Amino acid sequence: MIDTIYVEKEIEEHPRTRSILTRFKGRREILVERYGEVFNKRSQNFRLQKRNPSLIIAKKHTGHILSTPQGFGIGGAKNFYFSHMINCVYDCRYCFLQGMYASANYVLFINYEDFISEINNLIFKHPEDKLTFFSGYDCDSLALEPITGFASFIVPSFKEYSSAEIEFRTKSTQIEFLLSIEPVSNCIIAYSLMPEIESRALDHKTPSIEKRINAIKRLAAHGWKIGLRFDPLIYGQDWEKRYQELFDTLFSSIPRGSIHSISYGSLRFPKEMFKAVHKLYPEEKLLSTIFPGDMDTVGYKTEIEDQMTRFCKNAFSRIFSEDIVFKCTTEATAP
Amino acid sequence: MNDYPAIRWVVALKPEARIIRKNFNMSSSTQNSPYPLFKNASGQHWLTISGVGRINAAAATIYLYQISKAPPWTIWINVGIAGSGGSPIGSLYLIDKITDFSTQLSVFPKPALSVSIPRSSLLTLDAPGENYSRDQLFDMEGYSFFEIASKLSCQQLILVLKIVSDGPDIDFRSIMSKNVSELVARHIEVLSNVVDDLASVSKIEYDRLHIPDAYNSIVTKYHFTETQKHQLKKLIIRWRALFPERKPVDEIVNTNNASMALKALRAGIDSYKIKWDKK
Repeated sequence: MIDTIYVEKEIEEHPRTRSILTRFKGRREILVERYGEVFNKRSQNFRLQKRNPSLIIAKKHTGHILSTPQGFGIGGAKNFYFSHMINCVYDCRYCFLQGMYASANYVLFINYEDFISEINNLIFKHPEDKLTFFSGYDCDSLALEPITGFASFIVPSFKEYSSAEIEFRTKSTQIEFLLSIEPVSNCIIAYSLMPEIESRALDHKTPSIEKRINAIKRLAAHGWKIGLRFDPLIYGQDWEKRYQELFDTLFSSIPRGSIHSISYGSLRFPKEMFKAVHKLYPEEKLLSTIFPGDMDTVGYKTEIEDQMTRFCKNAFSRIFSEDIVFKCTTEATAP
Repeated sequence: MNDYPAIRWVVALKPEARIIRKNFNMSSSTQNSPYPLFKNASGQHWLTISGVGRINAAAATIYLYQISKAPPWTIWINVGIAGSGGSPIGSLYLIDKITDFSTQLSVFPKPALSVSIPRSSLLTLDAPGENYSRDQLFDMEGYSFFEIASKLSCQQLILVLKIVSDGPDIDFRSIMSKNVSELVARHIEVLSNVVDDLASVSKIEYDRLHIPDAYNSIVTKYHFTETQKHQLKKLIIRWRALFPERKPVDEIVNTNNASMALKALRAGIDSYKIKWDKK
């Protein structure tokens, strides 16, 4: 339960700020000049702050939309990402956000119009290219949707952008608004998935895999295009058996025509980020079984990585056309 | 485990210290120190009396840090009296915003506390003031204390607690020493709860940051170079996560030197395959 909300003075009276504040009864509101005063200060502790994060309502001034790292994409000519929030309500032990910021507070940027305006500019600048925009890089796209209303603000705009696609990456089952509107054909709802047992051990505070699959089924039945994201792939005893079971469950319950794309990638962290995450959670088994590799990353040993990606490639190629299956490469570290 | 929990108290006045010292069984520690110093028998609680003002608060906090060898999982607490324009005398507040009057800079304490205490903003003044406002408290130490303590521990383990002692109807000059002690005494149970509560949070930091005992037992067994010591530390941390029931020292019984010891630990870790259903 969020008990403290910091609000930048500049947007104190913004209607979205006022509306969000009314959702939290009994919370303490504290005014700040800029969100950097309370977010990511060096002496903050991500792990301890994660026990009771505060919400910070802020305005994003620059860098609304950024290019994705090399190797991150689902077939678009140019790929961009954006986040209307920093940090996530979930607490997944492989998430790079743990090592990215010293603070676990949620920052919500409420100037949604500026995100749309930047997207417009980019589409105008690249009229010949198919652009893909990824939402949910520094946060979960839908987890706080009932409070933020970000997706419901942005999705309808994409009806007009035939040359672009938008992906909302999520683990959330907050899908009511998506079920209440007509599906938008260039909008993909992409779910991060792994076998239930691994998820129980690593995906803290998230909906179970079973619940995610149920949400996928409902979205697909409503006509939304679905992305399936197996990134990171998690290694351990019986991993093949469990991933196969997961694939079988998914592919037997979701109509093939609803699946827009599948992507997969091995667990990996940039070295410096890994150091920070491992220092925060030294008792975490997952982090004790990955090692620095040849590139500037930390991950499973090459033979394990190869074994896992080969397994996925084979499993997917038996069912799907190659052009909807994507392997995330080392440079791209997805949340 | 004498360095856990580690609690360090910084108070401005003797009468504020009196009740805290008594409650946590602290007695005078040294005679010739720049700030009066007290600690309990186990050395887990330390307290210093800074005197009034920002510079005193900052200097006393640093002094206490050094003299008590406060580890990074230390809980830092500043308790003191404060002025208020609107709150009843004797009310206790957890401070969540402190503004330095002279620079107008603010800091935002947010300890990882589950005990519920009413919250307030605080303005740290350079000199006693009489312009009481309703929406914040006034003191002369809070900002400096928090600013310095934030460099010594993580913010989630730092608390600033203020008890309203004066206001428009009660002049700060008229506050008697006895009254101050009584005000603190009124909240001593809350202070105890706060310590217990934060101690459990601080344990997470202790477990995370203290050097494992296994490291000390192995590093004295053979000659380790500095690089090897670093490698050993990392391997023991991984070992502890993967094999909490197995002592690393038992794994190196058949080794003759540092290099072999590292190799033995590395081999164990390399061959480990997580059983997720047993986690």
